[in-house]
Amino acid sequence: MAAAARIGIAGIGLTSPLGDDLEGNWQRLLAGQGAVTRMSFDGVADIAAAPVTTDVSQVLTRLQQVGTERVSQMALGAVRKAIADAGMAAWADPERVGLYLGTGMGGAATMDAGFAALYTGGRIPPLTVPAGMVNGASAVVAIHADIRGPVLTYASACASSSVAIAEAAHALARGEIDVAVCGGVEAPLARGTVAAWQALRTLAPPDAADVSRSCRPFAADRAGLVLGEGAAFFVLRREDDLAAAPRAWLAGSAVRCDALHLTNPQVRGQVSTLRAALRASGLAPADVGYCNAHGTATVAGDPVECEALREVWGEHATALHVSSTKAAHGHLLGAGGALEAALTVMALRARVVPPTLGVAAVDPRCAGLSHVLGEARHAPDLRHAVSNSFAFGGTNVALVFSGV
Amino acid sequence: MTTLARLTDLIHDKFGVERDTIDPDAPFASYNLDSLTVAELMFEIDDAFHVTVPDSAATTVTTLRELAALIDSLPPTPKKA
Repeated sequence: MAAAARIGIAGIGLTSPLGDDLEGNWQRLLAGQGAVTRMSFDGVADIAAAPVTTDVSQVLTRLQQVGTERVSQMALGAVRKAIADAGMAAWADPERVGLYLGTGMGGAATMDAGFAALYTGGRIPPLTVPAGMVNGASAVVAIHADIRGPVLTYASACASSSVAIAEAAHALARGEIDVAVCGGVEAPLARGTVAAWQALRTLAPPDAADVSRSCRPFAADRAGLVLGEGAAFFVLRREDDLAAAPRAWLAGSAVRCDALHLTNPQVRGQVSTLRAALRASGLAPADVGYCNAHGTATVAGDPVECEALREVWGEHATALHVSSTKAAHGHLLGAGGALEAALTVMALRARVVPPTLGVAAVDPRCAGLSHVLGEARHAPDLRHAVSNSFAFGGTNVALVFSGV
Repeated sequence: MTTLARLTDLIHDKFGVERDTIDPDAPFASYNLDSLTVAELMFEIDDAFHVTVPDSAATTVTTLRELAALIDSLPPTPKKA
């Protein structure tokens, strides 16, 4: 096998706040129809959040649902769609198929409900451990998609699914597997988890005038992040194994760590990650025309990311189109990188840059880049794009994609 | 309604198992209740029948008829003050 086998995206599947189909997500994003709404949880001030509104349990029969929860069901739904999108039904050799799944918090809602019952004099349900364990979704996907090679779970907070995609591509390139199913899932919209995020004082309040505009990345008046939930998965293959033209190529990736602070992002680590990803892709900054930013709309995070982009892109920074699609679908935490990667692939295919919704004026500290606000922008020369994921814990990931 | 009939209803309602596939004298696995599902069933029974099924039942009871007999032999769980 050639050392530099290209890795193609054969299929994409979503369970997203913007809907369950890829094209629908894309159209809704371009139409400016965000999924952020007001949600209430007992004992917690109302939050703005982006929930998945379909009945995700339908992917399993009631008997099969035993020991599973929302996080597993959303993951399985997206994986099935990704496999179907790749035109694959049964595997030639299930042991040559690997699953690389990122999730920050796994079955947090199950643990939350179990502990709540226990602490209030009730009984903790017997399947709390298997449903709540962080690799529960991986196990459910493996069982129902018959994946018998490496089945691995990556937990690096908001970079989890991007790490999983990067690792899956390496495993393919090394020849360890022939098919990689990779991506991530998160289901954080449960009372205890929401309360914990709110206690950290990072959540944006529901916008009083228009709740769908609560998440405003890069805006001068940004107010914090908005939680989302969902799953996004890819089927990756080596170029020689592709049955048809891929949706895009995963040109390269890099994973680095700030190693400085639990939560505060750092320019140094982001710059190093972006440069390493460009090197791995054999591309110069000027080759990359779009950055789907991490852009969580926190006061601290957005200026750091913009400074890192300006430093790496240098004189080309003002030509780099930048947007954060989190304004539309919220922050899917461990699944965020995968959903944003999917939308980045759609941007390459359409040669259209999706906008950051809801932003009237960019914070001067986020300036010096070609921010795409409000309306999508045609980018006929767009050939390569990068998707950033910068996590609590300091793990930074940049995934670089190339059009077909 | 007999305990056995109530158990059959519970399995049907909770797990979507068709009633006519539930043979009260056959092992739980014969109608696709694995060990985790049986553990979940025992948990539900405590609430539905106001009894406390001992943990050992998960391994010693293998059929629905045995389970019904066990439930009928248990004292009601005292109500919480």
